[in-house]
Amino acid sequence: MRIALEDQIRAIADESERQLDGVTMGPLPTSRTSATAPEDSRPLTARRGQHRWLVAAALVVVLGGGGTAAWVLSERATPIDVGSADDPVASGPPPIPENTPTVDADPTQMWLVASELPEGYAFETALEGEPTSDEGRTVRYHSANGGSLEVTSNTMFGGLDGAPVGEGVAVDIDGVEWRLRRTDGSPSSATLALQANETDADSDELSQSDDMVEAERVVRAVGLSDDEMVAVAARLVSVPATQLPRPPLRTVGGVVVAETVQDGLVRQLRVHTDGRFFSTTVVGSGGPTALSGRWLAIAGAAGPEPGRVAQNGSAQSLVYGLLHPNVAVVEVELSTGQRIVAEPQDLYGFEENFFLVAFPTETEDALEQFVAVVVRDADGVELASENPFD
Amino acid sequence: MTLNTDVTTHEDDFEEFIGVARVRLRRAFVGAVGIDRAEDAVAEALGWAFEHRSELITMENPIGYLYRVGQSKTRRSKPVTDRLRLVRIEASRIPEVEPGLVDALAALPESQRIAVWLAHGCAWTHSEIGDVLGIAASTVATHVRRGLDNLRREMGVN
Repeated sequence: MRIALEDQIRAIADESERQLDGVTMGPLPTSRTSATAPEDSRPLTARRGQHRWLVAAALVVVLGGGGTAAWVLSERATPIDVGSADDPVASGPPPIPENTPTVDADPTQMWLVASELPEGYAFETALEGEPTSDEGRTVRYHSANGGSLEVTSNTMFGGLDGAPVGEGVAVDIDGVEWRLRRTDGSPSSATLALQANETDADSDELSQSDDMVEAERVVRAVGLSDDEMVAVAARLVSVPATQLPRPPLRTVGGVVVAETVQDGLVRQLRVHTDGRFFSTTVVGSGGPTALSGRWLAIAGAAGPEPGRVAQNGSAQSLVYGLLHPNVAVVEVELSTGQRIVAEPQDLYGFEENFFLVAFPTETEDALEQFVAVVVRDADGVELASENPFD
Repeated sequence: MTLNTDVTTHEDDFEEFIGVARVRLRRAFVGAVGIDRAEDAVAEALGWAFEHRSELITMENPIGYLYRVGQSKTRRSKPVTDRLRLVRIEASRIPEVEPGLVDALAALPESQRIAVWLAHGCAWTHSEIGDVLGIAASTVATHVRRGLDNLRREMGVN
């Protein structure tokens, strides 16, 4: 033995850290265009079929007048499958979510839904990734007068924040004790919750560890009475994704707009409704941004891993940012003369749009190849042309 | 070292906290999810941190909690299918490390590997490790001792 075993372990960790310091990202595996490919001149709608960016539109939770009520039921449960991370990488903006058949949905993926809705309420959307806890599946309903209702099945490793056991008023629903609680003192956004929290340190999900997993069910609403909320909670049923009125959207956190897969690993880009925060696992960082009256705001860019370009010349880079809602087309101009056309991704309920473009990189610094972003309105009129990285 | 770094609502201080958390978490995640997924775990954890800043402020051990978030979410989104790697190079290229130790460490039972890694690779105390794993410090000590025993046996040393 050269040095003490413990010191060798420390040396291994030091080496790991050094290697991580030197690597920030790898190349994106696909692009909608290539360095030699001609610009795709087909209509945007025609290109949607080959989109390889998997994008989900976002929803903004609007808390209207009156109280928000929520019931939280924690229970020991099989961890919720949040969906495959191996979706094919998309090469362009996604189709705007609409009422499409769910025949292609995963029939084994189960969703908790309200079997009986309050009068005037209708299905709105199903989201993978609960907006507040970053996990689970939420089915959302709304009424014409601004009321909203959410049913969420959620799993949170290590416990459920903001839903302490024992608070609130106990309510029995079919032999299960829920806790009615008000979690927000604001009159316009008060949250009432019913909770029965059962924690067990023996996780079914992570059998090789001592991890603790909790599961919960949440019914949260704006504009419903307590009795109406209890009625919804008492009639929750689990249905396969194929029975949802439209396919679920993929979210991580409050609002996820895009993700891709690189080298078998999920690389995600996120947009948050609060503060317009972006984050991406590609570069491992992010930052707040806002349009501030401009047509375009670049949130970030990611270049190739050092050495990748020299090895095979196939590295790709990524640019993403926000757009004014009037922007209909984004064109990314490269120093090679290539122009990549992208469509803003419509973030449903989001006041600004998002764009995401991958382009082949032939330089060591991804941004060396990035000349400008041109944004146009629906009539093709140029609204702005700029290189925010200059 | 303590994991109980204060989180504050002040923007600059929060950014500083994120910077500290990123460094500590990244190294720690290598032992839990491997070097190939450590950055993803960090991103998951810090993404959660930005989204839940108000909740993080109230926590006594925010970095510990973020470790749990990153570990859980990374495992869930991408289960391990290949052998976990602690480094990307041949172990023989780390001069002070006995040949075979990297592989032996990676092959330890998960609870032992994580405990040994955090204790000796990251210099976390048993109490801190216990906090993030949800087990008693004494249990951590047991995992560490058994892990080291297994490594010594595998390496053929006392």
